[in-house]
Amino acid sequence: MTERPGLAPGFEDYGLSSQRVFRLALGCLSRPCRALDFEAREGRPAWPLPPVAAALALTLLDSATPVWLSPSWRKAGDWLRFHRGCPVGGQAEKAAFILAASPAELPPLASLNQGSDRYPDSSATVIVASVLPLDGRRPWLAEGPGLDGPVIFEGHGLEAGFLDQWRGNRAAYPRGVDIFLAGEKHLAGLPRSVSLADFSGGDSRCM
Amino acid sequence: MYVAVKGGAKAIEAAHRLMAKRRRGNPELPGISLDQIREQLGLAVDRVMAEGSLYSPELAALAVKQARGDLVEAIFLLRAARATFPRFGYCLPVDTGTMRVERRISATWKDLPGGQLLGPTFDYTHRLLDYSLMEEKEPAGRDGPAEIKGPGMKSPEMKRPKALKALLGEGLMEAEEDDGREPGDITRQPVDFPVDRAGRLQNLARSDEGFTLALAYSTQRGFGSVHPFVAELRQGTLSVEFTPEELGFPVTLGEIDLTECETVNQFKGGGGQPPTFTRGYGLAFGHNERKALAMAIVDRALRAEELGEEIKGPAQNQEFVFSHSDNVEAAGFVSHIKLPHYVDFQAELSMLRQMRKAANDDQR
Amino acid sequence: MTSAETGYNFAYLDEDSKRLIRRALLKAVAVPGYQVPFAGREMPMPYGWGTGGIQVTAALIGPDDVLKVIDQGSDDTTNAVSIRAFFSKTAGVATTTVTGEASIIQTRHRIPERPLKPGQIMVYQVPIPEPLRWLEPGETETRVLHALGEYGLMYVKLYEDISRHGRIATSYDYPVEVFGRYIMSPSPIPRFDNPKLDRSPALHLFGAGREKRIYAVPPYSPVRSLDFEDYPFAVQRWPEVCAICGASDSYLDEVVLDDGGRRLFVCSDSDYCAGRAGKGSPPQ
Repeated sequence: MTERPGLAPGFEDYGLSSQRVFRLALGCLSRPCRALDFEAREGRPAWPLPPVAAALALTLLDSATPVWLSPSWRKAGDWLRFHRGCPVGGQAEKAAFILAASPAELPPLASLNQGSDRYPDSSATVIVASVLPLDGRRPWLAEGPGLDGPVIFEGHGLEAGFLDQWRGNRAAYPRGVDIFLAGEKHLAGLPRSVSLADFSGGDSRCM
Repeated sequence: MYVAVKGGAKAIEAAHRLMAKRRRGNPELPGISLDQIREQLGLAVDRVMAEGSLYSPELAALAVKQARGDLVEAIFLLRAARATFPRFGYCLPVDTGTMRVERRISATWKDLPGGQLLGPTFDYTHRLLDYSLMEEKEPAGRDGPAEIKGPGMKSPEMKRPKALKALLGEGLMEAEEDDGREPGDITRQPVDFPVDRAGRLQNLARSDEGFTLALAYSTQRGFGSVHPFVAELRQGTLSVEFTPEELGFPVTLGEIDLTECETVNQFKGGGGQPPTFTRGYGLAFGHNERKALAMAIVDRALRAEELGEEIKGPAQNQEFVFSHSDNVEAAGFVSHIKLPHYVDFQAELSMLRQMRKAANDDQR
Repeated sequence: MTSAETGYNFAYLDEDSKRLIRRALLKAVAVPGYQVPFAGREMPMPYGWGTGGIQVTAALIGPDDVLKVIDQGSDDTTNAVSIRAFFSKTAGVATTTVTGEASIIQTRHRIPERPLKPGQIMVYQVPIPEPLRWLEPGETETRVLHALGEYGLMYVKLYEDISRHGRIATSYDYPVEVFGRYIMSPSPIPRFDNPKLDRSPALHLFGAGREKRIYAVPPYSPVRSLDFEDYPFAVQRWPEVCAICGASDSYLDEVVLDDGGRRLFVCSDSDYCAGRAGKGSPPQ
């Protein structure tokens, strides 16, 4: 990391990289709950955020998108402001994008901007750093648009209590937030249209 | 045997070549220069700048030339170019009170501070074809003094206060209050009805002149009653200033020509407001008097809801006006029915045949 | 990433515009069938000629894509040629006429006959995105109807059709319900194509430039054409077959041969027809 992280470079070629990262994000939301590979070539070592979350932020943010950063990621505020001109540091409830360093630093979903009945698209988008467990620790069953029938979703490090929050988010549909789970080398999407159910106890009911 | 129609690409290329040829006209005649268009077809250039939403006499002249004088097409060309230009920021609001006027009239006062200045106008010309203009050489005798000095006629260079100031002092005129909110930008944010007045004025400023004129006319004829007075119409030159982030103080970018119109309407009171005069506002790039006047009338008509007036005509319906005023949108959508619709027509055809058959079977 | 030839940005649109379209696309995918407003730009083609689809494609496309453009099912119609040429010129991407080879298919009025594959993206040009517009001209009202999921108006209209004509007299742009929530215009595709949207493995994106709306149907989403139990939805069928390839399962265009009223029928999907006729249209 450089002495002044606020001046760390952005993408080498904004047009090319943002297009590739956007297509990855679009793929993740339109085929939810599965981790897609992030191409390492888009990242830069000097970034003050992990590469996947950083690339997504560079791709999607600008002066029209107020951003809220979780405590461990506040240091990236200057860098985002410098590259994307986005307002940083306001309240989480009003932010268009929520960037959280871990599921533990994520504000309650219900406290975030849910959009309105007339404009559900005005809701917040969450980018949260996640882990990709391969041991099936948190087997949830996911179902919804983008999925060809129910699939097992391993939670990517989301807390057990997240399931209840997500049920609330799903119940507010078409209002609600959408989530990107940004791993070290992977990205996954969890749009509000997807239902999650606990699968560990053999309960395959989907709400 | 039927062979599928191919060769669309070749047809398009040929059409472009033909169009270029038509644009140039008879090659034995000298080509028309952008300077000539700007200087001698200035009102065409002004209209293209206003509805094209871009102040550039040079590019507007280019658009007029390229469009072979089709102004709606020229406006489209300018808009499409504008959409790709980077934005450095917003200039400071201009104060039209500081305008160096070329023309300034008021229909509500015989004389007023700053005086009346007729300026260049078609208003009192007799609309007789001037056959002397058929000669290539301009006839002599047109270079008499343009400046007439007389009682009430002040130097054009002097600054003139806004005419409506007189009524403001007396409290008979509604005050325009700056609520401090940043106006939105209809070219950058999606529209959500109801649109506030700033948004409506932005829309009207780029609206089709003919559409706006017809709407204004309709309100005067009774489809929503707006029969206003022209408190002031002024046209002239203003400086535009911009504060670059790194300097922190405003610098002058250059000068633009504007036409501004303020109209006065009676308002009988209601909704807790005493009877008062209300106003309509019109502003357009260049010398664009018909447009500025029509815009002011439609602006006032669109305030019907805010002022608790009955909505009786299309000019008072903001969704109707806003959604149909743009000639780039309108011309595109109306002309798109020239595109092939074989598939939809086939669908209609086969359904109609089925329905006819069913009806015939029923009759038997 | 400026194209040297045109002086414009890659795929014409500037990065600011692409970003706002991309954000709208992500929200559109998250709320299937809901119309996301976006601040559309003037494009160098007229409104009504595909500017919505072109903006969506411009926001999507990258150097690795292979683009197919069809109008009325055909790659050869003038507007398809013109749009394909625009992206060849401003983005330098590969183009194809073969449905199976394309990563992005921009279309006006048709869905290809060959089944789409996972990973493919359909981009529709949409003239009037609001399925309720013919019943209620005001956007303020229709937006509330969508918010409430109040679609009685649409069913009343369809029912009136049945009582008057004995059937639902809508042959194209036939309204659908997406993911059990929003009623959506599938764009003016013939109702013949509606079933192809239901649980399609491809991603379907819809762009309305003049009306400044974007909406989406994600892969495998349930898409139901509106109907009644006693008047179930049905697609058009022809007694004829394609005069070129003999297909009996494709959408047919009618061609008038002479003043005597002689006519024949050919596939509207030119790639499907050429493939079946064994000519195979080579990639460009």
